[in-house]
Amino acid sequence: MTGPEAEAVTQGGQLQSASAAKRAAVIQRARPAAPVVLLGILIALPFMVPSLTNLLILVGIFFIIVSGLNLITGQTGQVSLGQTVFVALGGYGTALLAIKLSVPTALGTLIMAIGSAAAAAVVGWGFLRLRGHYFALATLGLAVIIANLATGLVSFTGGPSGLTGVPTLTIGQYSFLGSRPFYFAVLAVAVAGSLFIRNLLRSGTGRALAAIAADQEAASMLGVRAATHKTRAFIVAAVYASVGGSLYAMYSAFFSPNMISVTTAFVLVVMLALGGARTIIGPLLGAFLIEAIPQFGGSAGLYEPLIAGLALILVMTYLPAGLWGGALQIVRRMPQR
Amino acid sequence: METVAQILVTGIVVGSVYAFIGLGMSLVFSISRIINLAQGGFVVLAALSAVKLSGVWGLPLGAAAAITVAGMALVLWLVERLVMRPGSRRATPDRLLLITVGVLQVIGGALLVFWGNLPFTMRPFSAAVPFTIAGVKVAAQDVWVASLLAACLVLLWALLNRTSTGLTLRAAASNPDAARLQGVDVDRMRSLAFLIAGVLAGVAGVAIVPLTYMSYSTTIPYAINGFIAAVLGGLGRSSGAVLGGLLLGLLQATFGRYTSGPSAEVAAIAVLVILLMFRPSGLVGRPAEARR
Repeated sequence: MTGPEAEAVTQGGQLQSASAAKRAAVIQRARPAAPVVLLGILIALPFMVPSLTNLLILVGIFFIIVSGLNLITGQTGQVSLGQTVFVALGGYGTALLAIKLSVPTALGTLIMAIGSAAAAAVVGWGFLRLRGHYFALATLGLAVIIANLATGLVSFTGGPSGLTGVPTLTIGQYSFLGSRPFYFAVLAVAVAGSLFIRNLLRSGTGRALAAIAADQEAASMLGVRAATHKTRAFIVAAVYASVGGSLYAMYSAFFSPNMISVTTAFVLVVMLALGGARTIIGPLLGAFLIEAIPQFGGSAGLYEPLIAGLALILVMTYLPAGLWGGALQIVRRMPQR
Repeated sequence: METVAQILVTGIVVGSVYAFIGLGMSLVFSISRIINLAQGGFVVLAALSAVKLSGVWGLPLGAAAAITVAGMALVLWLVERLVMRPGSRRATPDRLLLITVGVLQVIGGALLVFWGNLPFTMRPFSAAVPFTIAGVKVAAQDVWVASLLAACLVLLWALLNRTSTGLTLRAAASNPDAARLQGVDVDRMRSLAFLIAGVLAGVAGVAIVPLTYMSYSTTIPYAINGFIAAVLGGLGRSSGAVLGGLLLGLLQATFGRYTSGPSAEVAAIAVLVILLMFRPSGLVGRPAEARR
């Protein structure tokens, strides 16, 4: 069963008409080309529309964070409302290491990613034993604590006004100064992150995660250690969130409690739900749609929380697979007609 | 002694609001298994509606309060019909929780759009002079809040235990399938539970707003503290929610008295996190329900 025709036949579980099989074959052949085309567009965009670069950087950073969330929430079905904890570790950690100890930001990002992984291992060990929504609520508790600490520990975090003067990303002698170079740094991290997740999902861990999401009890009867695999997914998600936080601090040369508010924690989940979990494009679409709202100028930013909330309700109520997931379902159903 | 009494008064007043929110969440959870995180948001919405009706449009206090309470009942009934019911046909409990997060987000967003980002308060119900108990000044509004909670509790108890509607409600809560076989319209009971939660949110919002400042940014703290109250007492238990609310209020008042900054809030959440890890079913309840 290697040919595209065989694939198309088995996909529906029954014999299909010749034209449908042909269409499925076209989709199969178009598949490997699609990421290359998307990447080409993403590389060309800052040259074609330079005014979009700043928006694209923010979209890229949120895409990295939401991709990590996708692994734990999309694959294992555990909703984490506390990813801002790791965003805060990455952002504040890198900023403080650079400002107070003059640690290079690239090294700081790495140190905080490892620190976040360790923190996630501890939190995951404790919380992932909790059933479904209790995990969501425990992580939400952490998000509230970290938001309060960021505002309250003024001598450490700068309080509500935040930390300023964070140096930009520097690797060797090269500084990623300015929007366009930094955009390519974000793009590189995003592509590497997506490739890692794609490979992870095809590995044993990925299969185990899918099995856990489908039926945890059946999976554990087959010898899949649910808690171990979930903790691993949570650790990867924490590293992505931490790197996203570090990138944000370096890009804006600034980090404040605003970036890690409870609202942000909600917005991350909104981005995932809106775009669609369990795909790589879903988080990209979600991050883009939510980040694009303030771009409509004037008072549009005022409406952002309202629109994000309404979008979350509508998508979760009527389109649980999200916009991209819903579109994929329609495309998959087409060849069978 | 005076400090202890002061902490008691502050704690009971703040805790009463948490109890109101936890009570609404518990009632809805017991019948629908939905953790309505937005319940605390509705309290803030009720508070700001009352401020607008009485302060800006100049309605007498009683009328403003009545309209607010009725309005909140209607809003929660609508939320159940338009969002929760279609949502629960397709979604898992995790997704339903996210839907209520969306509702909370919409309340905050709507408050930001229609009320702006300024905090609001209202004049107290009665201009009575504060009186003194054990050397502590007690404002008339403090008494209003505590007695309204007591009144609501008595009414809710009477409704649940002394009427046939209450019996049907309890039947739908304890075993929906069996209740349905007995001819109980479980969907209608769910709507009723949301409606009662709306009344509770309305009363709580109107009662507390003269004592504090409310704005779009207070929705999340109230939602979370109310939820902690509900979990502290064990979700689905009305008496637990009230106990949990008062305990949380006293805890925050104690921390607020001896420390400054965010420590009261952090301590409250730490209690939640520890509780979820070691006794997720609350102070009264069976742990097996929450842990694998």
